[in-house]
Amino acid sequence: MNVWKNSAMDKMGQLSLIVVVGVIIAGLSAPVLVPHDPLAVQMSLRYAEPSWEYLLGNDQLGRCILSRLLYGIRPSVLAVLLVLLLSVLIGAILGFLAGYFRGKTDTWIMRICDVVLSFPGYVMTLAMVGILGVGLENILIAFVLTKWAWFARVIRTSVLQYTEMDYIRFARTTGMGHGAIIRRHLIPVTFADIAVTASSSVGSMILQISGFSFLGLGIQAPQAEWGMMLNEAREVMFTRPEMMLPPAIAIVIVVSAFHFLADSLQVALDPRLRQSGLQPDRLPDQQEVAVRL
Amino acid sequence: MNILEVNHLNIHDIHTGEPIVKDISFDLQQGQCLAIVGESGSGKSVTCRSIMKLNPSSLQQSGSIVFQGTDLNTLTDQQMRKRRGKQIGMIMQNGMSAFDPSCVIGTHLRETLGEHYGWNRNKIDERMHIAMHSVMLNHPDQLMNRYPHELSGGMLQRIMIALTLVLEPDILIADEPTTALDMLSQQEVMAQFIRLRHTLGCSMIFISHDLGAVRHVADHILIMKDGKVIERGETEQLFTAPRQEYTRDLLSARFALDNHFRQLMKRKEG
Amino acid sequence: MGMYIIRRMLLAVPLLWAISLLNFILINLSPMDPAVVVLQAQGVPSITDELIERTQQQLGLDQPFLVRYLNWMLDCLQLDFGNSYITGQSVWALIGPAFLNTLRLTLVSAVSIIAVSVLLGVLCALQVGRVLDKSVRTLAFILTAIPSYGLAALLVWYFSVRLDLLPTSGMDSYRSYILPVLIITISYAGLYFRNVRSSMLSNMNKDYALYGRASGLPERVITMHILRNSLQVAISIFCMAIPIILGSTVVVENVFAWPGLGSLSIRAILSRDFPVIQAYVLILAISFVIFNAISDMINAAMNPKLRNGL
Repeated sequence: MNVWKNSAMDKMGQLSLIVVVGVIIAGLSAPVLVPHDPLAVQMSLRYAEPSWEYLLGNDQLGRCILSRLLYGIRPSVLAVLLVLLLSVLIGAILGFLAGYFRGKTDTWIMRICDVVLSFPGYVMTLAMVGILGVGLENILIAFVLTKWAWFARVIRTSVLQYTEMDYIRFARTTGMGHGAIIRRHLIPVTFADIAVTASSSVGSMILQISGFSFLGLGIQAPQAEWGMMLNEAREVMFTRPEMMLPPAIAIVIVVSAFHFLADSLQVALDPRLRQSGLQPDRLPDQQEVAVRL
Repeated sequence: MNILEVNHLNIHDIHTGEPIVKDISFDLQQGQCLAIVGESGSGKSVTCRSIMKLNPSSLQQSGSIVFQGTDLNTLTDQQMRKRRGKQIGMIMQNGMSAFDPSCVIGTHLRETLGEHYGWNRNKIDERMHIAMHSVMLNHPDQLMNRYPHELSGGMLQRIMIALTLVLEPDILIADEPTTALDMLSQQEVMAQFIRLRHTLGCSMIFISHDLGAVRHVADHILIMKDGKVIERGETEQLFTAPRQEYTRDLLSARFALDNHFRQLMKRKEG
Repeated sequence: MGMYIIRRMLLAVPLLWAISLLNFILINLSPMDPAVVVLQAQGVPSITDELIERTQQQLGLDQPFLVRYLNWMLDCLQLDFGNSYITGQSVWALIGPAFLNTLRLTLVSAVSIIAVSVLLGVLCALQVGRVLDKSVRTLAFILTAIPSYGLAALLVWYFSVRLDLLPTSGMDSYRSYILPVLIITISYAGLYFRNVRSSMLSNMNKDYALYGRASGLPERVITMHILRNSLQVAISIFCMAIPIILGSTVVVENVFAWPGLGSLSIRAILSRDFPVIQAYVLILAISFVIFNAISDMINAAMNPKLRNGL
């Protein structure tokens, strides 16, 4: 983990790391942090201007916007990170199995991946929500079930290139167990690839999940979620367009931070990119283009 | 008469500030062959690309490069481009990647000859066929319609030599032309290079990391290490009486392999 | 090349079958009983068990799994996707026109995306590191962080409400295409142009560019060669992009009330209209597989090395 030691991340990367960590902490400690109850409806305060008591003003039902934003971190950001963790975990387990053991295991796992990947992930999520019903949990389940295949593919490719190497074969001839080899030799080297892939997916996942909420398929009212807040703001768009700003800006800041973080991570972990002075640009890989909501 | 004079050439990387080539000077006499030898990373390829001013913009060069009396650093891009190919030619290390993989070989050959001479397609094909025959390539018409990945490394090198025969440059820079080839192809290609020298009488700069390979074709040798010139001299003199330790190391490594091989052969015969 | 096409098409068949099976299984996993959904939609006041059983028989839901699957497959092949649980209309009658509307939007957007991505990608690569490159990339970066629905809402508010230049919704004239296509283009071109750009950059540093210059070829000839090789990658990406866009116009259709597949699917999901959802998933998955195959074939046509891949 030389990344932190070398401070290889440029300033933007460090800034976005601070933003991301800050947002995560804010979301986790929302109950303690919020100045007011995000669900408290106070019609007398409808559309109130920002004041010292209500720092970002009040929405169309008089609720404190800042509190709603803070609580909204949970479904919009923290839930996404959870989904990411789960799908990367599943993908990693299967990817390692396929890449390390190869042969029949590999073929079968990859076939399943192909079938799952041949469904546009987006459509599958819609289908699952259609079957299981609306709600945040169902969307999260649907996401994990659709995303794991892509991670499995990418991780398998990464593992394959190291499995071929001599030192792995040597370790096996010395009688080292499979588990130990994977733990001590493969995981450290593939970690960089996994980290880069995972971090670059977060941004689009956040956009997708808030997009689903925007459509009314995710978290249900009156809970706070950024996409849903935008949807509610849309209804009063003609008279009060400024209601759209807080959730939109929040999303833009967090997604940009994650994008910057992913890019800086990629540069920090891949020294070649640093020397050429070029910004990292992912090589064209059709599977990597995320669905934009 | 010096056809090329390089004086105090310095090349450094803009982004990292690292110097890559440190204050090199050398001359190339008309009709002579200069070999630049060194290990990977010694700066030999960068030096030669800078003679043709083909380094990426992240590398900045200073110093003078005088070709036939003109300092190349003072030329505009257009003027420099006119000299490339026609007066200073280059042969690349890896034939497979030297040609556009999505086009047949003939495309590059026709574009180049069309650009320099303005000939029509028939005349280009005619001249190329003659040249390709002379480098021992049969069925040149078929070859010109093949994609790069369909031909072997040795054939691609000889095609590049054939193109050079038609272009007739004053200086030919050969950037490790035999490194990517197997032993037999190396022999064939080296033979073609020697013939090229005699036929055209052009001056050559031959880059290699293998001293033994250049022994037969070079008049002078330049040894480079870490961007500096360590030793220079006439070929035979270098081989028999090297002054620098590094040169001796290079030679002994080469000879060690040769001697071992000879001993093996002696044992087989005896 | 002909052999490659045949082999590629054959490869798609088992995939299509697996998709249909998975699709069917998926629908049958729902916790909600379809019979109940139908009865509720019909507004029946008291849903008794007897009524449920009768509805199930009517819908053929009481038959064994395999029988139902085969019947469904045969029907699908004849484009008979059953009737909507909610409105009772033939699903095909609902989906057909909606599909066409979405297809129109998708195709127009796809052309726009390709044009913008290639233009920007090539320009930025040729001007790499300079002002144009940096500013376009920064702008693209910011734009891709904006959720498309946020951008849509913003543009609708500005152009339709404030300036009253463009329609807010519907699919009436060519003018109603402008905003939706703009949103979709901004969302995707911001990503794709990076692919075009990095493909250009990696080709610009390749040996054949160097050899071309060393042979004295003018820059424009070399740029044409670079373009040829870069665009190969771009074309295959675009082919894959079309079904992705096809499926993800949902948000844009929602904001602009565009009568397409997206709106239809959301309505179906919210009302648990299974036949519609089923048909929607099937159509999109199939178009995904088809476009994947087409993209592979185009790749093989442009890059002779790939033809032996299968």
